[in-house]
Amino acid sequence: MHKGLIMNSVDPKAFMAVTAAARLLAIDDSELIHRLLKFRLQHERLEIHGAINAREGLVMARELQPDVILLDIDMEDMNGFDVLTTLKNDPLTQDIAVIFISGTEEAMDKVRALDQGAVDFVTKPFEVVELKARVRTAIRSQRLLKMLAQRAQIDGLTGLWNRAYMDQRLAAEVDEARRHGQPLSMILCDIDRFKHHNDHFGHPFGDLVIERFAQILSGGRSSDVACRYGGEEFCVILPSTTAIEAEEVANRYREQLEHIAWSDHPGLVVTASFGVTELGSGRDTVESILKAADTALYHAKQGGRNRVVVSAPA
Amino acid sequence: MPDDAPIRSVFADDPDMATLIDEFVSSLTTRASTILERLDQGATEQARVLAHQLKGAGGGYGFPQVTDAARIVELAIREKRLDDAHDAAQDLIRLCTRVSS
Repeated sequence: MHKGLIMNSVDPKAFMAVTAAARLLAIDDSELIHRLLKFRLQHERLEIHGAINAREGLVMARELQPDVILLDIDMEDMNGFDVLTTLKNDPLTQDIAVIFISGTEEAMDKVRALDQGAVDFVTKPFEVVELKARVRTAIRSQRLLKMLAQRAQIDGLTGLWNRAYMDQRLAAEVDEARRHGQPLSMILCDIDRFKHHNDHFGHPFGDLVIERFAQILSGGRSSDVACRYGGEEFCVILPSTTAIEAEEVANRYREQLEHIAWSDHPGLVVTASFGVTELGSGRDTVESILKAADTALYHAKQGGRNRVVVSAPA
Repeated sequence: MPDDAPIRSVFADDPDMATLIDEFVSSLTTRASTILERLDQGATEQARVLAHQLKGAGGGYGFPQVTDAARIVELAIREKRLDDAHDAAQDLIRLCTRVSS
């Protein structure tokens, strides 16, 4: 789970991930192959996991979030092509690098695998040095792609996730919460009288206010996802959180901003308004949860600003 | 090489591989026999999967001959040449009895 603030616009976790031991998941119904892979790859910087059938492999892929999957084609419960399709259709697993490792020598199987999104194809029995090199290459490429994708989703001024990321992440979190029957809340917030501060004290001060507020939002719980929604508007996605808990979180944010002492403008108090909502009846889609949060934010503004309003259940 | 000459792993000189090869060899004849049993029982898909697995693993443990022999079994089953598959499974069993670590 990524936290909101990305220092210097690049996630330090992403940098660490490049050098950390990679996680490999082998999905193959032959225990002979599992033993061999574990032994042959033991000196690589890899954390190796194994699934003995396709269905177990799909569950483990979601839970472990491996960097790379070694996938057999010919398995009894589900063939490798169907496993790959399932992985690619799931937002949680679609970016995992998949290398087919199979006894098949059919050229068309290799073409099909690569066309479907596998990054490589290794034929069994495999040459150990070749397999190691292919795994290393897949991990390296995947991590660089991940970093590039991440940079494209970061807001330049605040280092928070941007709107594009928020749309994608909120959709994934809504799916996840509905799948597991877990609560999910959202805070939409807006700096009060921002245009006035900006016009009166200058744009550099306006930028400073935005940056400081972003720091507050990103300093919350590690599971919360803070994003810059646009201009002086922000949102925080709070997985496994009820609206009552989210209201407490929002109030902490509100108080922190209110109590900042602006050294260049003694006595100035900058505040923000917050709209809080929770996934539930009538608010069970991305659009409806956003609309509910926006309505609550509107009421917070209308009610006098510097306050938190929780959207009432439908 | 005579037909009954022992077959050793190409990794036999690698002490790190010794335990792994021992384990593979100790279960090899049973695995090959199971393929034949499944064929005799009419469980051809199970037999094919077992042959396929042995084909994939043999070379990795340093026995390319096992991979080749298992490939012949798998191909015969795929092509529904069950008499050939039966003969090939027997050849595979004979080969496996010569395998030593």
